[in-house]
Amino acid sequence: MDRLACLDLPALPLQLLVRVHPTWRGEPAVVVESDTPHGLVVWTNRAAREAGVLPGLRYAAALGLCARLRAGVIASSEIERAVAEILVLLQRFSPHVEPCAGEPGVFWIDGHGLERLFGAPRTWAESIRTCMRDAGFESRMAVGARRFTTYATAKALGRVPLAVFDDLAHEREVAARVDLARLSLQPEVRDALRKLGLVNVGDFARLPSGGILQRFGTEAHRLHRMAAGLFEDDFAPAQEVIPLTARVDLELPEANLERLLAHVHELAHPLCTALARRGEAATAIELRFELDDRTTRAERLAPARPTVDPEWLVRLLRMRLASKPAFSAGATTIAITLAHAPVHAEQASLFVETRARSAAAAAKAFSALRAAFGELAVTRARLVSAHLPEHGFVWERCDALVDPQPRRAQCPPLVRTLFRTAQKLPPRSRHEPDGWLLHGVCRASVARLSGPYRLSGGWWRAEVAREYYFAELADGEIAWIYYDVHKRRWLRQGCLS
Amino acid sequence: MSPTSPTINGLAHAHTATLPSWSLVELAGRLVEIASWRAGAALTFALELVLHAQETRAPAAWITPRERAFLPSDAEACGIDLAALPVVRVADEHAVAAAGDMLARSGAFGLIVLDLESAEVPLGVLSRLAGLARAHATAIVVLTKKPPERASLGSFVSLRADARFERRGDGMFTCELTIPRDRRRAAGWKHVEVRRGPPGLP
Repeated sequence: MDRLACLDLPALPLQLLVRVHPTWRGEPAVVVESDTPHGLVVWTNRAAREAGVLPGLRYAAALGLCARLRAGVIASSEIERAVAEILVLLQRFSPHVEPCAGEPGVFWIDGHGLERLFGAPRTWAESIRTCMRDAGFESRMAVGARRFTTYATAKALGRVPLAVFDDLAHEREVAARVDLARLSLQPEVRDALRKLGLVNVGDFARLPSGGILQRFGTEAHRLHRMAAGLFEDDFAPAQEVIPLTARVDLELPEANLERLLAHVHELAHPLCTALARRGEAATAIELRFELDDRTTRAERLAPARPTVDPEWLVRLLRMRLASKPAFSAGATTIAITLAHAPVHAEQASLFVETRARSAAAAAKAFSALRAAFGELAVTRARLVSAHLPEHGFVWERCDALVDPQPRRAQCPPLVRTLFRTAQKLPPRSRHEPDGWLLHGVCRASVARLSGPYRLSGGWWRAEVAREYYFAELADGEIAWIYYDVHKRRWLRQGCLS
Repeated sequence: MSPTSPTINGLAHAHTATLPSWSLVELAGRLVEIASWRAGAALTFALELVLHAQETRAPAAWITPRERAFLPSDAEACGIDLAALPVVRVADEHAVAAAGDMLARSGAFGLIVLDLESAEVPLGVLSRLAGLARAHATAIVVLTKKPPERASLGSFVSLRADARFERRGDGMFTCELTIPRDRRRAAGWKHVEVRRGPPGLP
């Protein structure tokens, strides 16, 4: 990766608070853990800090220091939702965006190969910052080549909120001079390091790694490893969220709100159904009307909880549009986009299998099958310990369905077909000018033979000795074959399927 | 996802962008054919659906002629709970379709897999299976052995998939499912997985 940017939205919870209360901009404002006198102050803006309100104070004490203080609570779910929304915005500028797991508001953005789309790195970065500003967020950004150096630099930016590095050595040099107070270290760790004379990132990175975890904790240890360049290759971009969209072009311009919402409902219904079947729900709906006078009206609405109910989305839209001025002209096109996210696992299972399946009906069907095809027609496989593959399981009678206990295998195999009776193969001649023809002249010959893998057993009864091979034919088939040493015969046990 | 029907006032161009996925939700209520040929991976992809059915508590059943079956140890290695997978073993492939009809009629299964290989299925049987799949929101998956250029079983097949594997190196295989026919969305989508070979295959 030769071009990487780190975007920092400083004090994101505080920015979210001010977004909710725009009149608080410029006023001393803090985010508190809880809206009670004992609630701890978690984030402060400059005006609050100038009044002496610092993180760690109780809300009541902070009010005593600053009577004009504004305070609010931002739930972690709101922060997560904001991070998801910002992620969607940033994915317009790069397919690979990684939100920082431990620090909401920090994102790494891969800029590799985007020059033709966005121009020079500085232009690209300016576009991202403009997008953030339009979304109501202050941001600072460093563009360079390494995760930690861009992160440290972005954290330290002040009056000039954008830095672009063309030289890795310069990037490292600047990052090394960043004050440790700018990073997300706990105050006691920062103070302990300062007592040791370590004030900037360079000093910190030069510390030997042994003992940091024990002495300063996991967060400092993680930061030290980042500074040492250990996570440079661990770029883990978030999955791109592809919105669901639907659109309708109207033959005649329509200005009546109820008729327009009827169209919106028709468009939203199949999208919500698709989301429900995938175990996802709509987190926001964007509505766009193209009007007859060539203007557009757009609305974006996020329900309090993700939903797959189109009626609810339309009801919210009705309330929103009813409070806005009427359209200047009739709408000729309506387009909707649903932002979506997975719902919790237990909700997902409800969406996927909502139909009640009757165990009694299954048992009845099994009885009918046994009546038609024999008592041993309905079975289940049970693995047993045995040497030979065909003895490694038994088919036992199955009378009723049981609750499954599946597991997700880490690296599942290609599944083989097993023949109940091994199929005889033509003998293998000593000279094979055209290769071994397993299936006669009409099929391809064996291109590669892997093996032998010897199995033997049954010496106490009738000894069995087999040499197993995988025969890869030129046409792609892989046959699972063996040579029976005692019967001196080649047989096909199965094949890969 | 089919386009929306014409609305009260104008034409509807529903440009839905739902992503297809090889899963039970995609195939519920449909008659599906998985065809494979020489380097075929039909069993592998069918068992993937069984696993998905078990994960979502949808009862699944497998119907096969007695002369062959998936290797149970391989299925177990894929994560499938063998105790919860009824396997109906019948005399021949013609009986497979009849058994499938019986199970589908019960409405008790979310997934039924019919291992037919090269058998021809009468159109009447296919029509009944397609109707039962729709009525009970069951995914009925038929495994056949034919080259990609051969036509699917019939017009009642809602989705046709061609399954194949290709050696990747280091004992790993790329398994690819190509969908040349899908009645519910634009055809041509693919599903690709990487699987390891069985023990002993380098």
